[in-house]
Amino acid sequence: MREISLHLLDILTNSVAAGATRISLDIYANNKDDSLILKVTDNGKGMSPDFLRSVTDPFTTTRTTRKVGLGIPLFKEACELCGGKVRIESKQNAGTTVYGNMRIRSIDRLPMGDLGDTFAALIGSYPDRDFVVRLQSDTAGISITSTADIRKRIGNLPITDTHILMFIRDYIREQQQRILGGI
Amino acid sequence: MKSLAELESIKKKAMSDLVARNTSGKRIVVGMATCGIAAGARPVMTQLIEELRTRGIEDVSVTMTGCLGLCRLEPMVEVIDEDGTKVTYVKVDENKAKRIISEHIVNGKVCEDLTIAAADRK
Repeated sequence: MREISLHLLDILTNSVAAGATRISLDIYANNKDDSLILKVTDNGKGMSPDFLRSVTDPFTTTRTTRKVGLGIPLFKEACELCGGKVRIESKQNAGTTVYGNMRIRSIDRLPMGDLGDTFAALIGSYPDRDFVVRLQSDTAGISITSTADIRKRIGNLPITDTHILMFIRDYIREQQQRILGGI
Repeated sequence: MKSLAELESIKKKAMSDLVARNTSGKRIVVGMATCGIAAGARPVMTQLIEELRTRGIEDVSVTMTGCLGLCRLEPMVEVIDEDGTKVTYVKVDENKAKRIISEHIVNGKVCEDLTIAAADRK
């Protein structure tokens, strides 16, 4: 994966697959402390303790087309290369939280990439789920975008309308630039 | 800087267009498991949406799905026509995505050279 936002797309689709109706992404950049924290939280079906223990193993997957699952192991590798870690908390029938952190100034840190593209793809595919994107940094404040808020504003126009999806993409891109610009 | 308030005007304009829309029932599905994402499926998907928007086509859905089972041929895009006929395009990039919209969706002509059948012959 060439961008953090691609890893996040992969992790976020795990939440969709777990039947979550509410999925949030939190990104907190602390430039002063050289720390980038990424967090995906969902209210999906969660994982059993056994599955949770094995989830960073590439030979663990829920996919049925083959027996290797690489989403979490690749994300873990990307974090660990940059002096960070991945931690997963999960409770069956309650939800899952995946945390990852990295050093911002690590030479191996991937660029954030295009969060706008990531959410246009997700919201267009899963318009009935609630997505929340919280971006925060120590230097530029906070930005919160939620599909619940967008739906309120567009009334009975479907959120999958291409004009709406491309607006959401451009809007999140701008918020990312404003809050996380340069990361 | 964009503001969410702009959604109201997009909505007004889109709702007036909505009357003219019919539902063709065509669907586009993009493989977006780890393999697809790593191979570049995400920009392909947004290119498909962007191209539909540019052409004012609102009756074709674009959604992601899991692994389509042939990771070496990702990014893969399936176009499912009204009658359920399915065409599978392989190794799609942003330019090929534009072709799929203009040739297959708009003109109803399958891009034979981009299909899985053409990839098998190579």
